[in-house]
Amino acid sequence: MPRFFAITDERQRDSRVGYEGPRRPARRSFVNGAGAPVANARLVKATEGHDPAALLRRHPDPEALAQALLAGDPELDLENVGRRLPDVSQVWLGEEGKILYAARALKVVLDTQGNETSREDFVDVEATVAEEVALPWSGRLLPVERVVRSFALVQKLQLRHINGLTFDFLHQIARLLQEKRQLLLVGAGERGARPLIFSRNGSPYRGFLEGRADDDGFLLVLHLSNLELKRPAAPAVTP
Amino acid sequence: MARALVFNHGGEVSRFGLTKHAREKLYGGRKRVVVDEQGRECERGLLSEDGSLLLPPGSVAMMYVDEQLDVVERADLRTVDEAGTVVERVGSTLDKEVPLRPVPLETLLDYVTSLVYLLDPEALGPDLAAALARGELFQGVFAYTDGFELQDLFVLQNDEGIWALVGRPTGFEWLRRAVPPPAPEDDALFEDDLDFGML
Repeated sequence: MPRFFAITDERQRDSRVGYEGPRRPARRSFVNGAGAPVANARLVKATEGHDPAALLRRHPDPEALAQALLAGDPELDLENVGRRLPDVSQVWLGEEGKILYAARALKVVLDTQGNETSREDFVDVEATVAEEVALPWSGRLLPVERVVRSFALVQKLQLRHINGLTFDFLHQIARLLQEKRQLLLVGAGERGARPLIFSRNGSPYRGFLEGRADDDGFLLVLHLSNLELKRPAAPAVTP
Repeated sequence: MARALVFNHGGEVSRFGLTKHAREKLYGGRKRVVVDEQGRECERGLLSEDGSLLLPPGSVAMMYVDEQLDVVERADLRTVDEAGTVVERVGSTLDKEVPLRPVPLETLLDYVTSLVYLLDPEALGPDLAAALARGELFQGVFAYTDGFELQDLFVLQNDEGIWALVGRPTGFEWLRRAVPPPAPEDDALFEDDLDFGML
């Protein structure tokens, strides 16, 4: 089912258009040795008070824990283990596995070695791509050669018309980009400098719009990248 | 010895060590953690809707069960496609010779890249080295582990090194103008004068 955003062409006309991701690979499923269908099931493995952390709290001495395991199977909640997982809600668990009623979300920033560099309150990052505000025509064109060699194109969206007028609108953009043999750098914000974020707290991307067109058809693809083909810096050597 | 990508390019065999390339190694990373009032990190748990069952992390097992709810071990599973035909397993391509063929650079535009590896040439044939240096793009197949699908793999070189990009086709199709069929030539509506009496 297509989703929508608005985009501007080189003549500064904007329009709402549809977009879709790549086709999903053909569906596959599992059967058993006799060819009967097999389904995935989520089963209860352990419950509160019977999990390893709770057992260690109850028996901090490993020897005592081993004896308790041998003597009474405290790790098994026989009433619940093996049951299908019922309808559940996610909760946050604090010290000693107790449910938290007031939790605080933090954003932790890590350096390239995985070390924490900062920690601050988590603030939602809103989407920058929407139907109401059109993505601008940045005018910045990049050769295919440069894009393909410099960036990993990790996601792609096909732009689709939603009526006859948007067919012509997108067809002209595709034709222009094909004639120039270049990709248009696409970003959000007034000048297209901000990253493309399609949902709240979603991944940010740089976009590259590619067009192909003939007399009565077109293919317009927004290539998305969040990764450069660049060698990571060597870790600093501490004396 | 670490496993490697081995390519056959026109009878010339090259061997590369591979390192997975990820955002975290290039730019660092961010994560969202939830803490309690004392700033101690918390864990995700599950609470049953009736409140009777509290499940700490690691308390749920994913199992395959048949229609009788008997557990089926992974080794006994067979994969079928939408038509019910059994899909044969394919082995890992690591340490096995994979043929490489040159393809136009634009081919990459029709694929979504899911994995990127930085390649470390252990034995690089002179023909492949020259072709990569000229800017050619090569296509082969890839499976890191045994599975049911070979993925497409592309090898290219830039100023930073030699890269393998693993991906799958987008499957995007051209969009065509849906033009209504031409009116039949003997369209009675316009044959005679317009009939205002029918209005």
